[in-house]
Amino acid sequence: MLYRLLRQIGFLRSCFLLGIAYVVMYFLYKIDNQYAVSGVFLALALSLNQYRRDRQFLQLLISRPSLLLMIEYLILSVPFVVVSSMKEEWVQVGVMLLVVVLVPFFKKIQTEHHFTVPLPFMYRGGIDMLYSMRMVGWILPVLIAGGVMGCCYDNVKIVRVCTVLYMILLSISMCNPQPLVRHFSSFRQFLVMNFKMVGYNLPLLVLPMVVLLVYSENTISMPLCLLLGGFLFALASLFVRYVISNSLFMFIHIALFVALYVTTVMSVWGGILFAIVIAIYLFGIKIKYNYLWKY
Amino acid sequence: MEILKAENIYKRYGEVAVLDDLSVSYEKGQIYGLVGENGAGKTTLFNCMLGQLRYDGTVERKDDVTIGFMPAESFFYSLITGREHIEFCLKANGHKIDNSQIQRLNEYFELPLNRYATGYSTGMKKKLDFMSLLLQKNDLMILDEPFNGVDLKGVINMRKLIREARDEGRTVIISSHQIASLHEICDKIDFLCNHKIMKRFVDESVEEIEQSILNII
Repeated sequence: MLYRLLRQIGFLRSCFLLGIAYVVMYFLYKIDNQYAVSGVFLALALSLNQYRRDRQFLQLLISRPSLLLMIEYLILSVPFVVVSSMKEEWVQVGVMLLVVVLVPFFKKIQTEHHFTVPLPFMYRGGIDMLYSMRMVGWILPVLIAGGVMGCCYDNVKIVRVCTVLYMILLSISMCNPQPLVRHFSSFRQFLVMNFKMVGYNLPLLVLPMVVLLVYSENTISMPLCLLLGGFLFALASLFVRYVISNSLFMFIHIALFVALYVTTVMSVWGGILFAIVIAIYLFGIKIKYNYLWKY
Repeated sequence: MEILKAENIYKRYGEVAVLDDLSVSYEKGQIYGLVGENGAGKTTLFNCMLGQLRYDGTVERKDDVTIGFMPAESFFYSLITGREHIEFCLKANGHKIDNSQIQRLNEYFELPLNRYATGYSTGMKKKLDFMSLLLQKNDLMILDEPFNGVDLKGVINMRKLIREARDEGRTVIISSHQIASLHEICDKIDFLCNHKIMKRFVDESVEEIEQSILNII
């Protein structure tokens, strides 16, 4: 079974994953906090139990799937139990075994809601940003509140951090959905629609943060840089999905965007570099989907 | 007048030939049916015509001919309403959003357009996909298994709207396994077998078509 598993995952990936697992376990062993190991295991077991999709399928095959899940979580707990045993934290070992027994009986928490959040002020037809707002829109008021607090206490840094987080969150949340490329009639239409969508929505969405920044900084240059950087960030996040589908590469690219965004805020060269990256993506999209738009 | 012509199309997936020297042409203002066994290559043919797959051979169409495609499996973003999806499809195609037109078309299907599309049933998703395609007013519409999962009233309305599109001079290609259903609506039915179009049925009855298909298989 182990051989089959390793063969399915692949040798290199297996080594990579084992390496990551070793590093995580090493850090857990070194951490002084006695709740760390059991806390990490609890989070892992709960999230696995929440997002697993085979529960109904297992119910069709066996009468007591909870028992099977228990065995699965028990196997998963082995490295954590070993680490806790090495640290002689026997209470935590007991807690983890309790988690193994109890978690399979937890029901999935319903996170999908069916009520529609109306967003009539946003660009009609731009579904990427509508999706993004519905995904993370509830966090944005928290960041605005953080910015207001920064203004009230004359702490410019808090306002800046909140603005940067606001931009990053808004842009990154657009990276998730599978892009619907075949609906675009031409490359020109693709460009026009995406630029219009970001150009219309972004200033509207970041207006509260810009006002807070202008108020706290007493200058227009920093808010403008943040807005320009945010515009480039949003465009890059929109376009990268069309050229990259591998999640690991996507993660690397997003990390690059964050770095480029921060650089754009600090220097004009950052903005130029960001624009070049976007131009490369657009060139890639033009080449990749040429077959769709050649007529 | 010919709207699209595919000649000597070859398509292989590795060692497996899916389309082999296939030739077919479609004329303006006609409804065409495409039948074939599972895995015969119907969707592959559509993808070749749309340019979504690499192939050997030629597909000729005029530059100003627009093609719309309704895939067998619908895909919608989560957290996006039916109306927003339609608006996206219209804008992506360079059309303006006309609420009255959306409303008029929705009188046929009665979809809850203000609800998230991912929460729709299979049939409702099909109807939404069909609505967005119809509103785009493409010259050629390719519908891959459009009636699967759609209720009786929905199928009747879809057929009515397809006929209306034909009367407006648009061409429609429909793939389906239900010959009787295709026979009612299509002007011509192509039978895809052994990697090519084996026969085009024009005036034959359903029984004749079925017998002919059985003879060929």
